[in-house]
Amino acid sequence: MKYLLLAAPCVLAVLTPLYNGLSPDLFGIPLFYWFQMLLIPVSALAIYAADRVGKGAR
Amino acid sequence: MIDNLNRPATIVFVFFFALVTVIGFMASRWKAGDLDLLHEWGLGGRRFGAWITWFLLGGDLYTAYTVIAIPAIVYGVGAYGFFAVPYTIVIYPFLYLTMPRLWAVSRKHGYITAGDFVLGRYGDKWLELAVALTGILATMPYIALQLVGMERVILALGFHGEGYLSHLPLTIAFVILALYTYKSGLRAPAMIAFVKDIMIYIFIIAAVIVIPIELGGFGAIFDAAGKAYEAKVAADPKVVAGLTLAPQQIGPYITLAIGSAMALFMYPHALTGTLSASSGQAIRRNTMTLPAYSFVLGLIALLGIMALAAGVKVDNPQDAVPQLLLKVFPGWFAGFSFAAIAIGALVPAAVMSIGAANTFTRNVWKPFVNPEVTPSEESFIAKLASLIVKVGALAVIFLMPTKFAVDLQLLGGVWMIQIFPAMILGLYTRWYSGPALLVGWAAGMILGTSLSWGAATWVSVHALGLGFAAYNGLTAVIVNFVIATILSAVWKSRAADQTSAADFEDEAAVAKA
Repeated sequence: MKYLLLAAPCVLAVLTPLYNGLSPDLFGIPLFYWFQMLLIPVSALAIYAADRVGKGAR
Repeated sequence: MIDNLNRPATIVFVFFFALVTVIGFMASRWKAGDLDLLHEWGLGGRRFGAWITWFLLGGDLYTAYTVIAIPAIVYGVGAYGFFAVPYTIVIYPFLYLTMPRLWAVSRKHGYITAGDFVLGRYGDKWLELAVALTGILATMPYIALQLVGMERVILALGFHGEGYLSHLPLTIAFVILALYTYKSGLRAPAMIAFVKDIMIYIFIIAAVIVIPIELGGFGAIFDAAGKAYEAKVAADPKVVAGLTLAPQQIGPYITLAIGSAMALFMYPHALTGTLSASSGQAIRRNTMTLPAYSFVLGLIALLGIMALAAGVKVDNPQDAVPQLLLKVFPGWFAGFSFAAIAIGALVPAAVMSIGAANTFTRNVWKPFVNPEVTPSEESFIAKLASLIVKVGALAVIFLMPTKFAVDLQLLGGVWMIQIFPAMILGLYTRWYSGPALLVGWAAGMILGTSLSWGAATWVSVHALGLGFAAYNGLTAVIVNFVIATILSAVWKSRAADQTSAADFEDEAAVAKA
């Protein structure tokens, strides 16, 4: 589970064809830009969750 | 020379520059330690907790050059410049797993550089030298580019000079930097990073609020920028630009993100920032909090699109952000923003010169020139080396066209990634042998350099057939890895391994056992 949480944001970040488009837009910002920006806090939360899961397992 | 100076901007700029100069000299007394010891001067005594590490690494990795260059690419070609965002996303989960291990083993055995670890792990002096020289070679142009970033904002203040005089403000700034780095070591950039990072956050938050209001919202900005890219492509069909990636850009985009992430933490300055942490857990916490800087980096990249939408016209794309700021902000706040960028050059330039100096002292001077060096001599050599590295960087700016420094920095990444197999595999296994890794490294260096070589211009990506192009650094490191693996299978090394499995576990992990 820990490794899944760490891997997920990385995989999403390099699945470029998935987000290489203009719509849907968010507050006028095209998909390409808001998707990657949003992924940054998501990745931080995923690492935090992985850390908690890792500690729980110990 | 100063007739066209923007006075409010310059006054604010000079004020903040003076402030960080005072801080830089005072820093020697902060968390006081014996600066005649290399790990005190060059690693802050490994006493930096999670907060200080956050400011230091943030200030160290997200450099002035990045603030200028990434939006410059976005301004020029659009979506492609955004590769910096997936790059910084990929990096932190990876750091979370690997860097506490490197920190633990380095603390246990007193390693302060990548070369130290490689020597301890593989017992191979030549692999150590290869790792050290790669780091020093890749760092020099990187420091030079920090100066380029600084010079762009000094020019934007309205300073114009002829010949060598044109570099005068830069030279003054750099001499000051060299002096307080010499005196205070890593403590100076760590303390200045607080000021720098807070200034960058203020400037970028103001920019993403004020600029969309002035330009009529994000929708209008992206519409205008999209039309500007279309106009560029219409004017010159060879140009590939747009709000999204063209199909042939997707391969390079992905591989550049992955390759850059693999290379970043091999650089001496990144390791210096990491190893100065006070615990493995401080590093783990940073992998969760450093993405805040990545978010700012994404916003900074968007400034390239905003500059285009605001109708900023510049010959050199690197002037896009400074000109945008002058256009939308009052003079004093533009000066504040420029100071943030210029001070943003000082922190990484200082840490890079310290990282290169540590490397030179430990992995070139000590093993190959004077093995009997005493601790205080060692610290002195490092201080001297940090000066030499900075003078070298300044010479690059004086003597070479900027384009050459940019090409060298691009190559630097291709080179740096070649020590990835030795470093990262070494954190988990000693199955690989030193000589095999050395041959793999050499193959990777040669292949990466030759792929990047172009008659007119150097390129970072190369078509691999099948209609797929990839970042040269990544292509070369895969070859490097395959060769090291095949050779290690047949070429076993009997060299001593200083480390044991338990050395790689940091305190948190040890405590639970």
